[in-house]
Amino acid sequence: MAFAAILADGSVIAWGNPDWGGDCSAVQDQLRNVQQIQSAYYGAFAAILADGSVVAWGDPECAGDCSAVQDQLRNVQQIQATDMAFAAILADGSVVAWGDPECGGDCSAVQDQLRNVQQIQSTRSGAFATILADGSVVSWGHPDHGGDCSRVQCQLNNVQQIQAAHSAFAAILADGSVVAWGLPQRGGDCSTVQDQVDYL
Amino acid sequence: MLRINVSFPSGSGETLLLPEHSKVGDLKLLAQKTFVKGFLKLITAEGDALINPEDYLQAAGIQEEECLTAVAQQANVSATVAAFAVFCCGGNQMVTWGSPDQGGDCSAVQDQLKNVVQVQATDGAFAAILADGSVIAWGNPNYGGDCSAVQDQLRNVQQIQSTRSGGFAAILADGSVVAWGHQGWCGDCSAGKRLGNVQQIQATNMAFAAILADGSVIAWGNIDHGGDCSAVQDQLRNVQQIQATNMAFAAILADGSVIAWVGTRPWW
Repeated sequence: MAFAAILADGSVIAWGNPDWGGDCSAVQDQLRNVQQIQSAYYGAFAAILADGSVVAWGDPECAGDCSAVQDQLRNVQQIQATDMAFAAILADGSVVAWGDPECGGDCSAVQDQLRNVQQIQSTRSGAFATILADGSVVSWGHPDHGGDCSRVQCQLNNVQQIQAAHSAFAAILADGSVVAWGLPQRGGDCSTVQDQVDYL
Repeated sequence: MLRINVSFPSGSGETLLLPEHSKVGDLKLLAQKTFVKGFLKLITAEGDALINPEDYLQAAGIQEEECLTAVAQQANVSATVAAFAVFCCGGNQMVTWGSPDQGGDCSAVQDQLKNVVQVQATDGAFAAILADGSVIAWGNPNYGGDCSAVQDQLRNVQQIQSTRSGGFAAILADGSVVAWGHQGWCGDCSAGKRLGNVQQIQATNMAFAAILADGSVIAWGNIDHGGDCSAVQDQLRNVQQIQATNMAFAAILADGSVIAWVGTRPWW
């Protein structure tokens, strides 16, 4: 267990298990004008600085090292986490991800589609899902836990909101339908309730 | 065939045709399909909402050339770790799916889940506040899915907070708190029921903290997740607001200073 807090002067203090991000001394001099901190459950932190750059620390296996994507992390607006990966939305609507590639830390396969991202959600077990400006959805990460929405892709139009359970996503569409994907027994299959949703 | 005029508050609309022995649900489905818009609430010229899909149109007083207004409701979706719940504020039912042991099956309480105004979730259960101020819970009883022991006390509920680990706490209109749910993992979540004059409650993953009317704070639950604020109790005066993360609380005082606590240790 580890903790991190932003102090009034924009610096950061961390404590707890050093392997899990409880020691930020290695990046302490970079942690200036910190606006926001996000944590990945298994041991890493990511801080957005006032200039839109990002500083990460903690377990390098678990998103605590963002050096591979550091030069892409500019004008970061928001960071979302799974247990072992981060994804950042940039001001231009693109996305940069890092951390365990099995757990959402690699979005290269869908990078071309990640344009005009409006909203991002994540399952703790390792998948991200984004709503684009045109109402479509792009997901990546652990394919069984929500990272692969290809089974329902053709239904995912005019999506208004996405909610995440531990290993599945649910999307609400403007036409009143509900679409789910991820582990079927853990919420990833809503095929039996569509009739009921029509009467809400 | 019945001719029914359905229009949005903006003025745009259509005349819908359907058999005379149709039900409210048939009309709603036809309207949603026609306008390609979901979660529509249909309201009569007298201002009555057509809520029950099983009612026949004639029984609901809908006649030839009736003019109805369609209002697009906002659907809300909540999640436990393995189930989802979708509802519209003030609507007629709750739709759930996913693991039945973790909130995915609300059939036992479906009849009572009408006029829901708020749903809150733990990792394994849901609790809904109804418009009349009562509360219905379902899902894993170890995660707060059974509130029968405190059902009598759950009247005039204004707000519910929850810990992921399975505790619910409801603030009533008189400022008292009723808590239920997991008694082990998150510590004694029910300790809060002694409280009165509560202004606000926040929750970490395993603990609650409440601001009282006199500006002091009481915390309860797992002591490693903020459930014990005794180390900073003296400083928690004139508290205006509490914020919570997964594991820690921070209180904003009237003078603008911030006191935070995690576990039993204070930090500055």
